[in-house]
Amino acid sequence: MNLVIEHLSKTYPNGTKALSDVNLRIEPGMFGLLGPNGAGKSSLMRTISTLQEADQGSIRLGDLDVLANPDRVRQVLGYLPQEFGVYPKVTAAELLDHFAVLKGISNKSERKQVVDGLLQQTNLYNVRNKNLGGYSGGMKQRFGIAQALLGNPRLIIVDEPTAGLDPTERNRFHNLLSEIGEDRIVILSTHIVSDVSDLCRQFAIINKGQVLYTGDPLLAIEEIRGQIWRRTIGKHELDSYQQQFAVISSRLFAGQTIIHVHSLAQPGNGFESVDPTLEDVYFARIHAAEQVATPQVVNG
Amino acid sequence: MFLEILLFELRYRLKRPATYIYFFLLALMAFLFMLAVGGAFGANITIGGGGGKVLANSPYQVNMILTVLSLFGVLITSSMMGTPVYRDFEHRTHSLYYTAPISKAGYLGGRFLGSFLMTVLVFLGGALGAWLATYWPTMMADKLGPNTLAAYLQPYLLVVIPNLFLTGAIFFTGATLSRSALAIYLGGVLFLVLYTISGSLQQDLDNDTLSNLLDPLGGTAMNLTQRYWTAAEKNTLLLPWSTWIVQNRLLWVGIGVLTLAACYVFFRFSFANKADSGPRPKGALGVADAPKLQTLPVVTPRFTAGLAWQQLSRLVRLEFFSTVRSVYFIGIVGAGVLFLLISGMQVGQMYGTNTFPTTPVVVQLLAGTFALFQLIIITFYSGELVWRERDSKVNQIYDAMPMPSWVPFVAKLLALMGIQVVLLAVVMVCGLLLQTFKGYFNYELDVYVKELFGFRLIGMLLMCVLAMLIQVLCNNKYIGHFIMVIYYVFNIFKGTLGLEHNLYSFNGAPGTPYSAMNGYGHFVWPFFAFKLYWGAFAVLLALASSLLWPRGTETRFSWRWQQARFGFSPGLRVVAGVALLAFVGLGGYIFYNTNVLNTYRTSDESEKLTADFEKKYKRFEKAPQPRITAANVNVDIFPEQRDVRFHGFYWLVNRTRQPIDSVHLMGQTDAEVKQLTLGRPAKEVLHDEIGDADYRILRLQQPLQPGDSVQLNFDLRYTNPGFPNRGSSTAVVYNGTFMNSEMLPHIGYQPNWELDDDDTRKEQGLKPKPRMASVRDSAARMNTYISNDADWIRFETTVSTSPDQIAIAPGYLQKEWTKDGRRYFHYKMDAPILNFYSFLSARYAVHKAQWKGVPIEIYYQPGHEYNLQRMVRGVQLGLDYYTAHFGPYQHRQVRILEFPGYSSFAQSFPNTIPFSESIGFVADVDSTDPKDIDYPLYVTAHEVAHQWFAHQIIGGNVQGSTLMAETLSQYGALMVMKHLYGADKMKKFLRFELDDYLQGRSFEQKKEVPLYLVENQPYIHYRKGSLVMYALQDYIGEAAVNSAIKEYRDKVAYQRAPFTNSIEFLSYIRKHTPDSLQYLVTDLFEKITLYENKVDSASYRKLPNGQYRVMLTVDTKKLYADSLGNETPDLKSRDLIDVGVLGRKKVNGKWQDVPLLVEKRRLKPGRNRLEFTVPTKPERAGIDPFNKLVDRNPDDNVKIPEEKKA
Repeated sequence: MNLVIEHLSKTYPNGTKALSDVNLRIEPGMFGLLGPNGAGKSSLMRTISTLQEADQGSIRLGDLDVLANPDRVRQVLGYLPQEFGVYPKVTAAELLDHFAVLKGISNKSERKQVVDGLLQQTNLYNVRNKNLGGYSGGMKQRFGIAQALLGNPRLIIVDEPTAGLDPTERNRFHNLLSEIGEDRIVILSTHIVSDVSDLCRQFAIINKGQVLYTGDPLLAIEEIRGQIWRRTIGKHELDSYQQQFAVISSRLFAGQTIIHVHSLAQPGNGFESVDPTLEDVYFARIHAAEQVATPQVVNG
Repeated sequence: MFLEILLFELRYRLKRPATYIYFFLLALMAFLFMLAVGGAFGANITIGGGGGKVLANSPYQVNMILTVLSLFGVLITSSMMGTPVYRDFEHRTHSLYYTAPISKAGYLGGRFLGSFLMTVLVFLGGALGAWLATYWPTMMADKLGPNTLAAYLQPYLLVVIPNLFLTGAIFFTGATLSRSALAIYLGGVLFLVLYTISGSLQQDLDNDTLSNLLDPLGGTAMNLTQRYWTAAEKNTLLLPWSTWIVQNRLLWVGIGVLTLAACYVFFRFSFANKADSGPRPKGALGVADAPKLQTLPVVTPRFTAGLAWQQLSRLVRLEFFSTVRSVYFIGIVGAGVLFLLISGMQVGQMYGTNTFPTTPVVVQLLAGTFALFQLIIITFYSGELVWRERDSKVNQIYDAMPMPSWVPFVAKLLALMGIQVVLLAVVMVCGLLLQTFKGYFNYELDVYVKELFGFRLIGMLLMCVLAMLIQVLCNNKYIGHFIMVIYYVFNIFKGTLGLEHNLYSFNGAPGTPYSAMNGYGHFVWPFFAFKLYWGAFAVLLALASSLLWPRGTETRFSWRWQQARFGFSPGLRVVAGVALLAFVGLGGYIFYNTNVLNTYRTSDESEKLTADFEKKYKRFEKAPQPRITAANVNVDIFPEQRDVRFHGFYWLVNRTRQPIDSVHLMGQTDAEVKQLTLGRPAKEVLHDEIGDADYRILRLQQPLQPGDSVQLNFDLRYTNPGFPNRGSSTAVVYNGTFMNSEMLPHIGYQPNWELDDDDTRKEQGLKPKPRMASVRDSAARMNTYISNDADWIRFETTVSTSPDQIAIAPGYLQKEWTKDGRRYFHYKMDAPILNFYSFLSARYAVHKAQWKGVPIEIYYQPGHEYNLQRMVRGVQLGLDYYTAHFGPYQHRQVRILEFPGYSSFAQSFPNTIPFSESIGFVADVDSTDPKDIDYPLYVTAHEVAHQWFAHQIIGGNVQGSTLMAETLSQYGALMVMKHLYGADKMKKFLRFELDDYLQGRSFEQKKEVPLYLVENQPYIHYRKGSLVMYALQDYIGEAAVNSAIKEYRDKVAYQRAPFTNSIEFLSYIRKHTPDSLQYLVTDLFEKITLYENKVDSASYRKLPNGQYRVMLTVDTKKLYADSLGNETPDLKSRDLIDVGVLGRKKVNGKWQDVPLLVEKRRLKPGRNRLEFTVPTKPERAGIDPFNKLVDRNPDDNVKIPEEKKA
C-alpha cells in the first residue's frame, strides 16, 4: 500500500503559499521530510492527516482517496502534531485509555494491554498515574508518541517527534519507530538531518512549499560525491566567499569559519574535498533552489 | 520607569480596538437608555425609579442611567483591569519583563494606573451617549429639561469612578496574583452575581447603616439618600454628599487601596505559573529503569456502528466530569446554593412575616433564583466545552481520531444538558433541606419533579442547544459569550419592540403558574406544544451545529460549509426532515390555536384598538341610560371544559326625567352572545366590535318613560377554545373558578375601559385623562365609584357546577340540588347590594364557626388549615368592633373563599370574601416573635370592615371616595389589631406603612394628592390612610373618631345619588375634633404634610429622691408639599407633638420599649428645650417616638440619653 500525492497545492487565506504542486510517492517504511522552518512540512502532514483541505491535487492511500474519505483514513492513521497539549488534570493512563476508545479499541482488556505496552515503550509506565499537567516537555512528547501509535495504525505521521527529547529518549524512539515502520508508512518530519540519514530509506526535501528532491538518502549522498569542498576562512571573509562561490553552509569551529562549497570542480586554492553527508545534500539542494545564494548557518 | 510603563500602557491601550469598542458600546447603551426614558421607543419605559414627571435628563435619571450602565460595565472593567499584568503571562513576555531592572511599584503602579485611566475614559462614553441622546429629534419634548454639565459629571465623581477604582483594584489583583484568564473573565460575572445577591439579602437588614456599608458599589447609599425623593427633587437635586454616600465611598475606596497594597505585597517577579510549578513526577528522567524494548501487543481496532456510541458515552462522561470538577463550576454552583439557602430562609415574606415553606412556593422561588446561575453556566461552559480541545491544544490529535464528526459535538451537548439535570437536582436537594430545616415535612416530591424536570428542564436544554450553536457558528469563545449576553438582553426588551409572539421567540412559551388549588391546570398542554415546537427547532439547530463542527485546522466558513454538505448523510436528512416537519406542523397547530381560535394582538395593537373605541363611542358617555335595579343570573360553570354560561335578566329602570329611546350595551368580544334582548320590542341599530369591546345600541319602539322599567335578557357563553399566545384566562379553571360581574353586560359607555396612562394616550392621539373627577363634581357623584350603570340592586342567582365542587355567590343559600350530574346552588340576597358580585367554584373543604349567631364559613383548599383560626378571629373581632362602633352588620353570614394564587388579593363582596391562596392561607405567623405581624387576621379584619365601608357607605365616582372605603377599612383593621396586640406592637406595623407611603410617593407618575382627594392610589388610601387614621385617633381619641364615623354612616349608608364625598366625611370628623386640633385634620387629610422631627441632645440626672430628670433638645419642622413634591416649610406652626421618655420592659422574654412619660406638647418650629421627671431609668428619649407623624427620618427621633453627674 503506497501513499501517492499528486499536484497538491494549498494557499492560505493570507496569501502564504504553503504547498505548491507537491508530488510524492511514499512506500511502506520510514519516510523523512526535511526542510527549514516554514517550508510547508506541517501543512503537508496536516493535509494527509485529514485536518486541512487542499486547493488542488489528490492524495491516495492505496485505493483510498484521502481527501474524500477522511473517516476511512483516520481509522488507519496515527498522528503526532508538531505542537499539542494535554489535559493537565488527567493522568497519562486515563487519557491514553480514552484515546484508545476513540481509536476503536473497544475491548477493555485489550485496551489495557495496549495502553500499558505503549506506556512502557515510551518509558512513561512509572508515571502513568500522574497528572499530565506535571509532565516535562520531553515526557509530554513521549505521551504524544504513545497516542500516535495506538490502534495499530498503518499510516503514521509524526511531526518533529524528537523535539525536546534527550539523546537517550531520542534513541529509544528511533528504535521503536524503525521497528514499527518496517511494514507500514511512517512519515517523519524534522529539520535534523541526521534523523533522516539514521532512519529513513526514502526522504524528501521541501522548501517554500515545493519538493526539491526525493529519493534514497544514500543515493543522494552518492550523487554529490566529489562536489563538496571545504575551506577554513577568517570570520570577515565570508561575504566575499559567498559572492564568489556556491557556499552552501558555514559554521564556526574553534573561532574560525568553515565553509562548504558545492562545485563540480575544485573551486580553487585552499579548498579540500570532503565526504558528503546528507546535510550537504540538503544544503546543496536548498541552495540551488534559491536564486540568490544565501548561506545557511547550522549549529550542530 | 513608572512613567515609561504608564505611557506604554496608555499607548498600548490607545492602539487596541477593544478600547474603542467598549467606549462606543457604553456610549450606545447610554444613548439607547436615554432615548428609552425620553419616550423615543414608546411611553412608559423607566429605569431606576424615573418616569412620569421625572425628566429624562434630570440629575436623578442621568445618575440612574450611568449607575445602571456602570453595573453592566463591570464586565468591561474586568476585561480592562484584569489584563494589564496577566497579558505578560498570556503572551509569555513575562520572562522578558521580569528580568528587566524594573521595580515592582513601577511595574504594577504603571500598569494599574494606565489601565485605570483608560477605563475611566472608556466609561465617560456613557455620559457622552446620554448627553447626545437628548438632542435626538423623537425625544418627547416634555421629558426634557435643561442639560446641566454637573448632572452628567457628578455621578462619575460619586459613583462611577470610585466603583471603577474598587472593582478595578479587585480584578487587577485577582488576575495578577492568580495569573488566570478565567479568573478575569468569571471574576466580573461572579462579582455582579454576588453583588445582586448581597443586595437582595441586605433588604432584610433592619440596620440601614450596616447595609449601607456592606454595599461595595454604593447602590444602597444612593437608595437611602434618594428613596423618598419626589419628582420635584429628582428633577433638581444633584446626588448630594450625604453621610450615607460619604461613609460608603470612603470605606470602599479604602478597601480598594488595601487590595492594591495586598497585590503589591504578594506579587513576585517569578517566572513560573503556579499551575505549572510543583515537583515533577519522579522516575521519569531515570534512564536506568527504562525497560527493555518489547513488542507491542497487536490489537486491531474494530470500527463497528456500536463503537460510535461507546465513544460517545466515553466522551460525555469525560466532558461532564471535566466540567463539574472545574473550580469555577464549583464556585458558581456554590455561590448559587448559598444564595438559595439564604434567600430561601425568607420564603414568601409579607409585612416581614414568612409563609410556610410549602413545596410549590419553595420550588418556584429556588428554581427561579437558580435559573440565573444556570444561564451563566450554560453561557460559559458552552464556550469551554466547544473550545476544550483547542484550549488544551489537543485538538489536532482529537480531530485526527477515527470517530464520526457528530460524536464530539453531541457528546458536549449531552454533557451540558446532563449538567442541567444535575443542577436542578441540586435545587431539589436545597429545597428539601430548607423545608426540613424549617420543620416542614410535607415534601410533595411530585411537585418538585414536575416543576423542575417537567417544566424548567426543557427550557434549559433548549438554551444549551442555542448556546452550543452560537459557539460553533461564531468560532470565537468570547464573541460567543457576548452574543449570548446580547440575546438575554434582547429577550428583556423584545416585548417593547413589539415582538410578543412565542412563535418567533426562541424557547418562548406561555408560563405555567402553579396553584395549590388548581395544580398546573390548563397551562400544561400549551406549554408543551410550544416547547415541542422549539424542541423540533432545536434538533435542527443541533444538526446544523454538528455538521458545522470545526474539525481540523481549517477555520474558514466556506470549508466548514463544504464539510457540512459533505457530512449531511441520508440518515441525517431524514432526521432533519422529520424535525422540520414537526417544527412546521406544530407551528401551524400553535398558530391555529393562538391566532385563529384566539385573537393575537401586540400590546401596541391592543392600545390602538382601545383608543379607537374611545374615539368612536366616547360621544355616548353622557347619553341617558336606564339603571340596573335587579340582577337574576343563572350561571353554569363547566370546570372541566373551562366554559361558563350566564343566562338571566336585569331589571332596568329609567331614573332620569326624560324618556329613553335606546339602550347602549357593552360587553366583551370573547363572549359568545346567544341572546341580548330587551323585554320590549326593540331593534339593534348598532353592533360593533373594536378590540375587546363589543358595543351595541338597541332602539326601543316605544321610548322608556321616566320611572318605567324594562327587562334585559341575556344569554352569554365564555369558552376557551384552544390556547392563546399568553395570558390564558384564569377565570374558569379546573379547580378554583373565580369570576365577577365584569363578565356580564354593562349598560352604557364604560369609561373605565379607556386607556389610563397619559403617555400612552398621547401616543394614541388622545388627550390626558384625569384619574378621577373633582371631589365637588356633582354630575360624577350621581354614580358610585364602583359602577356607572347601577347602584343598589336586588340580587338572585342559581349557580351550577360539577358535582364534586361547591359553587358560591353573594346571598343566602336557598336550595341545593343535583340534576343531570350537575350540582345546583340557589342564592338570594335579602338586602340591596352594589352591582358587584362574584362567582366561585372549587373542591372546597369548609371550616365553620360563628359570631353571636352569625355563621362564619371558610371555604378552603384541604391542606391550607394553618390560619383558619386567625381568620375566624379576624372576622369575630372585626364584627365585634364594627358593630359596636359603626353600626349593624347588614348580612347574616360571613364567608371567606379561597381562590388560586394567580392573583394576590382579598376582595370583599356582600357577605362573601374571596381570598387568594397566596396571601394569608399559608402564612407562618410566629406569635412569640414580636416582629411577626398577624396579617391573616389583619387582612380578614380589613375585608370584613369593607362590609361597612364600601358596602354600606359608598362614595361617588370622584376623588377621595376610596378614603371612605379603603382608608376606613384600614382604620377598622388597625383598631382590631391595636386592641388585640396592644398599641406598642403597632409601631412595627406602621413603620411598614410609612416606608411604603414614602416610597409610593417617590414613584408617583402623575401627581400626589392629599388624602381627601385620593385618586384610587394605593400608597395613599392604604398606606398614608393607616398613618393618618392612627394619628387621628391618637390625637382626638378613638371614641371621637368612632362617633364621627358612626354619625356619618347613619347619614349616608345605602344612600342614593348623589353619593357622598370626602368633604362630607371630613365635616363629621371636624365636628368631633376640638378647635385646638382642627389644624391637624387639615394637615392630615387636606394637605400633604411632612415632618422633620429629631432629637438633638438628651441627657439625664439622677435626683436625690431616686427619680430621674431628663433634659431634651428636640428639633421640629413641618413642611407642606405640592403634587410634585416641592416643599414649603410652615414657620408659624405650633403643633402638638409627642415628646417623652421611654423605658424598657421584658415582655415574653424579649425587651420592648415602654413609655415612661410621653405627652403631647406644643412645639414651635426649630429647637425646643424640654425637661421631664420620670420614676425609673430613662432608656430612650425624644420626639414622636412612636412615629405617628410622617417623617422621612424616623430613626433620629429618639436617642439614648447620657447620664450627667450633678
